[in-house]
Amino acid sequence: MFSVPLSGLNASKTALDTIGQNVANASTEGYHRQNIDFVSRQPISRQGHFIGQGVDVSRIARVYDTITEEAYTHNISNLEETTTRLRMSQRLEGLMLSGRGSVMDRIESFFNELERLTAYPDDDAARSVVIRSADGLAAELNDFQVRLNGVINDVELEIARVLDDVNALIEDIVVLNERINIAEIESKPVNDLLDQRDILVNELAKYVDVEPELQTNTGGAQPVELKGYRITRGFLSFTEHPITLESHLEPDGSVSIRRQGSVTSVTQSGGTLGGLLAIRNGLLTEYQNDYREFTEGLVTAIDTAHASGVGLDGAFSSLNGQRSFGSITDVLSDTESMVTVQSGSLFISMVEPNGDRTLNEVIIDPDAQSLTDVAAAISAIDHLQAIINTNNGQISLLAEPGYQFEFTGHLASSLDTSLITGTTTPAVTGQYVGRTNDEYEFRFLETGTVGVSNSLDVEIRNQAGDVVDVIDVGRDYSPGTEIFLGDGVSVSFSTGDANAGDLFSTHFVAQSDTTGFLTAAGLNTLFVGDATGQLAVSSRLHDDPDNLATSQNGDPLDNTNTQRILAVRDAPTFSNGETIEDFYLNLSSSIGADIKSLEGELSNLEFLGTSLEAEIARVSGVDPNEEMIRMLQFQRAYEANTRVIVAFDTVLQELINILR
Amino acid sequence: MSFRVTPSHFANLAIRHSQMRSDTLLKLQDEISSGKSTTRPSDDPAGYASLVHNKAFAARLRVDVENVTAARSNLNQSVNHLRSISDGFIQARSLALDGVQSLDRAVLAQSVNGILDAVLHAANSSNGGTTLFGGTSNVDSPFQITDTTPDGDVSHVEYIGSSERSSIVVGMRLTVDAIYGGDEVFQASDRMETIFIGNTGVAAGIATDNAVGRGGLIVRHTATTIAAGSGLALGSSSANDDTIIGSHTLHVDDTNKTITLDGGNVQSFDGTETDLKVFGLNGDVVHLDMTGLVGGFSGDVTVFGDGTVSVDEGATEVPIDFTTNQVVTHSIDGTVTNIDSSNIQRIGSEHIEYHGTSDVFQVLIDLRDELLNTRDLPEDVWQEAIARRIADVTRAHEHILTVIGDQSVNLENLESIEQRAQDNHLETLMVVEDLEAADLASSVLRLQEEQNLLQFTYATSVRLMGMSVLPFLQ
Repeated sequence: MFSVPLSGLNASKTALDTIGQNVANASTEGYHRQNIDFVSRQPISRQGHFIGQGVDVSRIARVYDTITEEAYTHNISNLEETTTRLRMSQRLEGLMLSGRGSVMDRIESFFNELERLTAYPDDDAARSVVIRSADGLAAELNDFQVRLNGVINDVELEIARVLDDVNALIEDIVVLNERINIAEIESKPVNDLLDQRDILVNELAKYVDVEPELQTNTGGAQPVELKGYRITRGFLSFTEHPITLESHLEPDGSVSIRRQGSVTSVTQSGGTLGGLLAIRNGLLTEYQNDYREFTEGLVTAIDTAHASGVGLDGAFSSLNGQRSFGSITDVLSDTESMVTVQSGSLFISMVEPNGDRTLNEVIIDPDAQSLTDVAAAISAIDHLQAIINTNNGQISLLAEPGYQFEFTGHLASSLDTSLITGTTTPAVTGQYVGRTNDEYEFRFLETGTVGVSNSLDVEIRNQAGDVVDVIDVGRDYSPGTEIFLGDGVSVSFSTGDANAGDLFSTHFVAQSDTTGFLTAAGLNTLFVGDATGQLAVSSRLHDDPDNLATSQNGDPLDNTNTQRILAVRDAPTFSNGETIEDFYLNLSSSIGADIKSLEGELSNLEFLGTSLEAEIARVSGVDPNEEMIRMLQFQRAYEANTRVIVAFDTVLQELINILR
Repeated sequence: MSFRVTPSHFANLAIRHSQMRSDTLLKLQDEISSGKSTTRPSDDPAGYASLVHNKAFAARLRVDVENVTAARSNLNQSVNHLRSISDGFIQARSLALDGVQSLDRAVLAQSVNGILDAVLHAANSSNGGTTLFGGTSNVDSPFQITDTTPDGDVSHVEYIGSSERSSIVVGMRLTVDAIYGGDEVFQASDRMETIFIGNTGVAAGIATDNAVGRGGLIVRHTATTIAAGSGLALGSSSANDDTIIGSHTLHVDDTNKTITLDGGNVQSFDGTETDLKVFGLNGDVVHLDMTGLVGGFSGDVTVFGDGTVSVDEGATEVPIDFTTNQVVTHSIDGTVTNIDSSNIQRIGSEHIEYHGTSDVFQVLIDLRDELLNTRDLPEDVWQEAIARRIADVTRAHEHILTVIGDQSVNLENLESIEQRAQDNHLETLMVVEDLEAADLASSVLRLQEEQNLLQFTYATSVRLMGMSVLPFLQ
């Protein structure tokens, strides 16, 4: 008799316990509301009637929306990945800020000081200021590289730390799986264990992309059941046995993730780990490459311009290269060097003891010549010797006593007149200021005497074969008088005869080194070292600021080479036509745009996360008000069942009283 | 399935939105406090690039303005010195004109000497350690005195500076020449026809010379030839002492025993002379052996004198070819003088003036020497020479004025460059201000708005989270 209300009491009690559990965990992270399912006991037949036997609790189930929960887990993963990328991008952005002392500030400062120097080119203090600003630029370029490397190191350390956390979480999940399995076998409640596992899975999702691995369960009540978890987009899975992940540095410099003991890398995206890998192998590598390109472009352009000038002491008796070549015997195209040596010409001027100058062209083919070959070609110039230090792969140039050399590309004092059959002697003078290298051919069109004949035309053609000018050096020409040809150069003819067809030619050198060899070798460069954080201003300049190559002729007030270096500031230095400033600003703008984009992405993911949380809360969350109402419901049910028992008890008491 | 809104959701939402509001408020506080809206690339990627570019441009313009100031200083000093030189030339011209009338030319020459010293001093002047007329060389005293007269006066000045101008960068791909080469300023040449002063008959050739300043030409006799038929022969002193050059005519009258050279004075002879010195006009002399004269001969006999010319004081001599353009080369400096030797009549020395090629100093030296008549020119020739010196002074003065004009134009350009750079600087700073500065009014309004929203977030959260069934459970 009492069993029915007793079952009701028990059911209500269990329901109240469940409600209590729900209310108690209303604010517990990851807790899923538990629902109690009642089932009516099978009725028994009594006196031809089927009488109900009360109520049983069929199960206490977690309220769980698989699709939303999975979406939420994915969103956690995406959110963490985006957050990580944003965090690291903002750190990178911090490096690119343009305040005082920044790379951009140092560059502008260097060029501004150089421009100031044009007003006081022989002033020691002004020259020292330029060298100090170059020091500052080199230091900042190095520091930036160091800071960039620091970010990369930090990311790699964080990858290692994240992997430790991931491996620990995987192990925890595996342990929990085992406990769940045992509990299920023993028919013990597993809801709270499942919640714990979900929390761990979501925790794991913060680091890596993770999703449940389901399998069809033909024997069970549910169509599918959880088999395990897949991470890293399904490449790795674990159920009962933990897996250990580790990072690996690939030959291309990228960092990959491997399962311990495996030689195969797995693709990883999502979560902090995915974000870190994306930053490490993507953005940071890209920035490192771009920054190196930027530094090399900047330094090469400045060094190339500097190398073609001379300081206040004029030409050199000797010069030591301050950059090394990886090999002295391999062809240059296969040899590691600061700058890739191109095919072209290197013009070396020799200054003789009497001040006369010869201009010598050294043809360099990096696909066919090694450093040794180039040294031999340079040594073929009279009175000049190139010496290679086999220990460090550096080249030095040494002129014979009394002779000097330089790379200004200045015009030779005398011309090759072997094709002039007459007695006149031509001379080409001045300082070529054209933009490109050229070679002019001068050909007499008539026979006659310079300064005497009625007409004596000389045709001048450039390297392209175009006629530049025709000049008359006949009667109206004063022998020896310079005739200005433009671009800073003039031609003159001594008195004497010339025959039609007599000719001579001369190089006009705008860029004395079209190969980049001087920069690669560190010969008369402003900077030494390479773009890997080892840049410094040449010790030659520190030792003597007069060695700052501001001039093309060694005169104290000659600013020609300073202007060449200054031209680097606005020149299209990079292959896509960008100037130094354009390139740098594009770098900082693109990181800014990336951050903007990531902020937008993060905002969307946060919004999605909020929606999914709301969705999960709607389904699985605990509403205390709802629970209170249910509590009232089961409290009343409990009271009712009590009343039934009291009624039964009263009935039985009445029966007992009859028996008394 | 039932749907519900849980207190946790309320709480999470309240936290999230209050965080968002607080974050925005922090940014606005930063904007309003610092007055800057763009401090990082991500604040405004395109704007940030423009901001950095404009800041750099502003700094660059500041340097441009500084360099303009330095260039102006040099050019101003240069123009000031050139103006004083110009005044000197005005004075020199006046002295030369006085010299034409006055006989006290030595005093005038001394005054010219004073002007020469002043011009030399100005040409060697410097500004803050920078030589103003030395080109890129910046040597002290680019104009050196290389020769003096026995009295110690300057007789030659040589330039040891550079011919290249020194330029200062005053803008993007913009330079201004602030230091000129001294040769360009003081040694410009405007070659005119070469003047020969003498009576040898030489004249300027057709072609253009390249010698400069002044020089001398010596015409010497080497041999005389007599046309056949008269029986006349050369006297024993002919080779050494004849002075005729080129073709001359003797008229011989054996009947009256008289002889004339080029229609000059009639001289007598008796036919026994072996070295008769016959004088012609202009002091021409030919020595004859009269013993072989054909008896009764009467008529003209052509004599021809060969000779040489030299422009290097006889160091090298060139046979006269009697052409309209004979090239004579100076053996030491290699310069060329073209002469018309077709009318050379006699030996002698010629003063050569390579007119228009004297530098500023040489013009004054020549004027001084002309006033002192160091060449001992006859008055009529001197008058012509002094006229040329006055023309030289005028030409040199005009050249100085041209340089002053050129530098003044540079100064004027610099003023406009400076003005433009300053305008650009100001404009760039305004652009920087626009790009960088926060719109305070807008920021304050947004701050207020965000503040209100934050208060709403708090208010709604408290209100909604306060609603519960619990109070009804009593």
